[in-house]
Amino acid sequence: MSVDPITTEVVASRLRESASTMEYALYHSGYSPILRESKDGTAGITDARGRVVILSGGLQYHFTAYQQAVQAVLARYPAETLRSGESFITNDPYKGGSPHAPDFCAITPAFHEGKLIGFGVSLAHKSDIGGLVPGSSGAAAREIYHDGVLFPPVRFQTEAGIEESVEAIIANNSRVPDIVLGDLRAQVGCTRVGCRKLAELCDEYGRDVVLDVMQRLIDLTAGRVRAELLAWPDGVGEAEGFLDHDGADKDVPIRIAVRAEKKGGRLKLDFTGTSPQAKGPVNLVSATAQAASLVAVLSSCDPTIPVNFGLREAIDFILPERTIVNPQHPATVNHYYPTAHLIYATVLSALAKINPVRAVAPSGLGSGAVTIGYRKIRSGKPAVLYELLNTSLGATSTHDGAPIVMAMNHFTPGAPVEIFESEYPIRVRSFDLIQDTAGAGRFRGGLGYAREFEVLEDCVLTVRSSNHKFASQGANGGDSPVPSSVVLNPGRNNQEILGPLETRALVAGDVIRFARSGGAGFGPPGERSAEAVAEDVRNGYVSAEAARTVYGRDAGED
Amino acid sequence: MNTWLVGVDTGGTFTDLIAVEQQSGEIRRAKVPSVPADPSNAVLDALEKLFESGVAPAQISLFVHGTTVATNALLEGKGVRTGLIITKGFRAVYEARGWSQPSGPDLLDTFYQKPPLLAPQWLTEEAVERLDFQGEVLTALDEDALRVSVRRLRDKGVESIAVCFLFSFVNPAHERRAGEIIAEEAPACRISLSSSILPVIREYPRLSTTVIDAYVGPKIATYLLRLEENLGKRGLTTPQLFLMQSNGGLMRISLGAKHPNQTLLSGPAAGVIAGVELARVTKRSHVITFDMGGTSTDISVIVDGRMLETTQGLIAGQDIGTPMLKVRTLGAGGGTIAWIGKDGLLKVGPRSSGSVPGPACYGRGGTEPAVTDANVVLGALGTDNLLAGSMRLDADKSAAAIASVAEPLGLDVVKGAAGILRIVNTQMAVDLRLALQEQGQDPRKFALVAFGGAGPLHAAVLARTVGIPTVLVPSSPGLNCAMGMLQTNVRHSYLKSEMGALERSSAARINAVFAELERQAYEEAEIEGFSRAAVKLTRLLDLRYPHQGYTLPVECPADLGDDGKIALKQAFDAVHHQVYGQSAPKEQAEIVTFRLQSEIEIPKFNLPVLATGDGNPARAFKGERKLYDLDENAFAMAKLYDRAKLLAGDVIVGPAIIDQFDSTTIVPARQQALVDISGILIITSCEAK
Repeated sequence: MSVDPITTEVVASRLRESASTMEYALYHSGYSPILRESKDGTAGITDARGRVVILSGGLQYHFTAYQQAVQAVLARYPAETLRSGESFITNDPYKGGSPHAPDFCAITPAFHEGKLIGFGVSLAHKSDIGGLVPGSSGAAAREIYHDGVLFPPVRFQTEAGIEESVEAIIANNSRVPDIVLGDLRAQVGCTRVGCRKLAELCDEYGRDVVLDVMQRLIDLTAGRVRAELLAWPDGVGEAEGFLDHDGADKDVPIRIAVRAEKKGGRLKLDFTGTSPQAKGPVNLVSATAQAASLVAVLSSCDPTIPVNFGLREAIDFILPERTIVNPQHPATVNHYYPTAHLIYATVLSALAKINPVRAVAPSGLGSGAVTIGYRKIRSGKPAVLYELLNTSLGATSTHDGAPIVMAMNHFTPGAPVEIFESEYPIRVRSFDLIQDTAGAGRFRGGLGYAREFEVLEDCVLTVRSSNHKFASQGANGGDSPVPSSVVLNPGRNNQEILGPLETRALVAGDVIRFARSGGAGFGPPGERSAEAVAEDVRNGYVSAEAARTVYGRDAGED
Repeated sequence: MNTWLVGVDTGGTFTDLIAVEQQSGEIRRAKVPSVPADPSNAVLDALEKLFESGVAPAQISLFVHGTTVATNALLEGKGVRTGLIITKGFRAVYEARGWSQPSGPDLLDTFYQKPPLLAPQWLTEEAVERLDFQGEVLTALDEDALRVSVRRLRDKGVESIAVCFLFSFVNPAHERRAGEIIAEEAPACRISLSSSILPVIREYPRLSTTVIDAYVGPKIATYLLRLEENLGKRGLTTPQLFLMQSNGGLMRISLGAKHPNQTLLSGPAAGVIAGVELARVTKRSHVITFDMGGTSTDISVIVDGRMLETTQGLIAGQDIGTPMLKVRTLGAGGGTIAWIGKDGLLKVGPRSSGSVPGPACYGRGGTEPAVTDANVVLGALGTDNLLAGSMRLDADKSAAAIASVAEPLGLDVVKGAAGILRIVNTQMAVDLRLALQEQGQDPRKFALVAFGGAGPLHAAVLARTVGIPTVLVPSSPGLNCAMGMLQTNVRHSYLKSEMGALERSSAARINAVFAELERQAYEEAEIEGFSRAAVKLTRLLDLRYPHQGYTLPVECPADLGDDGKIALKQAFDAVHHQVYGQSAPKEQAEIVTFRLQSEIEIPKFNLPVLATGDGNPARAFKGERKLYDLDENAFAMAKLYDRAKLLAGDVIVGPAIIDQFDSTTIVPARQQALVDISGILIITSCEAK
């Protein structure tokens, strides 16, 4: 049966409503700053096979993880044994597809008149689940067992209520159990809301109609990607990118290589040539490697295409086993984000060579996170401060890059200074722009910035960044930006430059400075208009000296 | 002597005036073209029309104005050159805009851009100063350096200076001193201190709000000065001159230059007020206002007669934390265009045909199908419906426009038109449901108040879809917003963030913070010329559980005693349970913000009483027309009525179409409309009776 285009659009709107309701419940009842201020989580609905139909929340790249999580639940709890009112959780990247162990996935089967119709799902970061360091994701981790407690798909809740024993295990393994359990309940709660909404839609429009529309939405996304690809010239684009190292062998760069081959309506992404899997935590499971690539494909096609499982259909992947992008258990993946960002940037560059219309210069590399663990804060309890580290976007063919944005997801996480200082023993010494850090070009990248913290009590710091050596490459003759860096006690006698992957014990009074990369430039700097250069000098984004030496423009004094 | 209450609302295209005689309830209205170069001219033009009708300037006892001067300055980027002074080392706070998140395609679009800075970096100066989170001075304010900074800004020609220092909401001393120095060094500049404008935690939204105040403030100050002068010249003698505010209340025109942000969304707020008034008159506690105009629809939820406020506003991409009425706006109106998406499905909006060229049926050159065209094809609007009193609608043009999207989908014109209505109704239903869900509310408790030009066309079908049992259509749906301006009180909010556990905050401290806010409220009341006795104050505490990011307001009694805190905590648990479906009575509650609301009553317009008839609407019957039934997928004959001839007690059984000057109400099959004593149409299901 085929549902008419009007009903399809109507039911699609209702599915979006369901996902929005889930998202609202997730952010508003969550406990941690990670969830409520940084919105590090998503919620969505899959079909009965786990294929994502609709996803709400900023981190759209989560969509590949959900399929694996649902399939893992079904492998352990066959569909015919699932009961209404049950909810499951998993955080095992290899079994459940979550990007790294702190990301818990909640999975609730949705039933209509006793028939399994899909799943309500939510993936969100947990502040701490044990492991080597506060925040769980340690730079020194060498296998996934170092990253904290690992749940295969297990039942978390039934009609009768939450399984007390599962919560007890989580609480027993976390440095901040109250916050982790509060977030997890918010997450599971929102998936149950989603299932209820989906069943109500079946009541209203008929189950067959709703299921047909769910399939149709996947097909439509697949069809739109295919149509975009058909409009591109056939061809091959290759690109490579490097991480400084994996945190274990600090002299060996990690290479991401991708060969994109577009033929007709299909695209093949071949990662042959990518470095072997690393001892350190920079690997990522294949679901995440695919997700980062697919987000780049979507953006290179048309960002108005809704993200769902259909995005996978026109794309073939070659992800060689035992490499960074498809490691073998028990390799640790806790530091996946900077690698995912690099894959995204590298795939974008490769695709730009085939379809220059959507070409942009890459964002600054080194997105990641910092965690600071305190034995106790003012409330008398232990606490983990967690902050996502942004960079700035690259320039495009029409304008300068946006400053201070998460690449790949385009939002700007980071708790306000006033919230940080009110809740944690920390002082933010600066949150400032850094002159001359953007990649120059006809259009320049977004400017780099710095955040400087003074810790007011002894604590444990973990830096999870990347690319202090290798900056992103400018496009079409544009320049590279100044790369990211981390400095302990800058300007003091005990100043020390830290690597991108470090865990350190800090003492009260220590200062840590995170300088974040600007975005890369697009087009030759000599082609930038005199007015734009003068405006940059006036605003302090570019020095008068750089105006002369890089842009060849005399802009007078700073 | 007759006395008239007059409201004048400036819109993008027209400036509307509504005048109500206080005793008789007689209504007069005027519509004149707006004058963007000097909007006060259009205000005077509209008044002139009222005077021509025989009203004398001295007969006006109350004048309320809704202005878009500040809104337009923001939308068009035409505020004044604005300087900004911040704590040294924090230039990235404004650039990062770490609060608003993009939505939709912007999330993944590599061509994404952030909204422009209203105070660019070259007009931003850093002050050497720093407070800690308790307001203790870590670095004293370097006054000499600040003087140099202010002079530099002055020499760059800024007309306005915003100041936002870290933790100034705890201790405003540095900001206040900076204000004094600006007044000395740059006396011509307007000064906006974040500690006065929005003294709440989170530096970015406070900064953004303060910069908006600085950016639009001088514009509205100039405008209001000229307006007051012109009103005086034209002979208005009443001291009761007010502005409509985004918080739903009024303020004296003389205070407008001090609170420009409160004028930014006054139009939608006036609509909400009218909805509250309608709820009161019809003795309902729960209503949803549904204001569907030409380009957009505004929705707001009123629970227990109370309007909801938000401090997370977004106007022209700029974040604003000034408390304003919570109104959801979606891009769905009569002029909203239907098109075929890249996925091959029919889409409606958010693009609108605007007033020019307008829907195809206007015959002004529009060829794309709009929602109004679908209503014409399906018989909801007749071709003899007059647009703005003069123009006839062209049904052939509507049909041709609809065919342009229906045919490629294999649909005939009628199915295409029905599809457009189904989709736009679904979009509005989704927003209605989300608005209710955010409040944890059940639609069955509500009535939908429908107004705006297109609201009464869609409301009954929409309400049935969402499960709202009753629709209320006011007597003049197109003038409802303007009427709202004459149905409210003077209203102000005073805020202060001071975080701490409720259990550990002494009642004495809580009372002291409120006492300071009360001092501010009385001071402003005095400036506005009201006595202390006229001021009604409500104390609210914004509370949360520890770790939560969002707060809920709970009313706090005056002269709180330490034992009263237990009741506060219980009230918070109860409201949390209502909104989020769960609460944590064992956990402590944390105070985040103190909020004092002041209200001062002023003369209001009361809905006039309509004569009662015999219950038979035959006297208003004017013919029949085929109307499409979206449930049955078929046309059925509907009776046509003239609203002006309806009397109280009349009952109209659907399918029926009720026409009036500025709007058309549809009563679908299986529903009926009752005319109440105030002329309000009350539409309910026949089955429920």
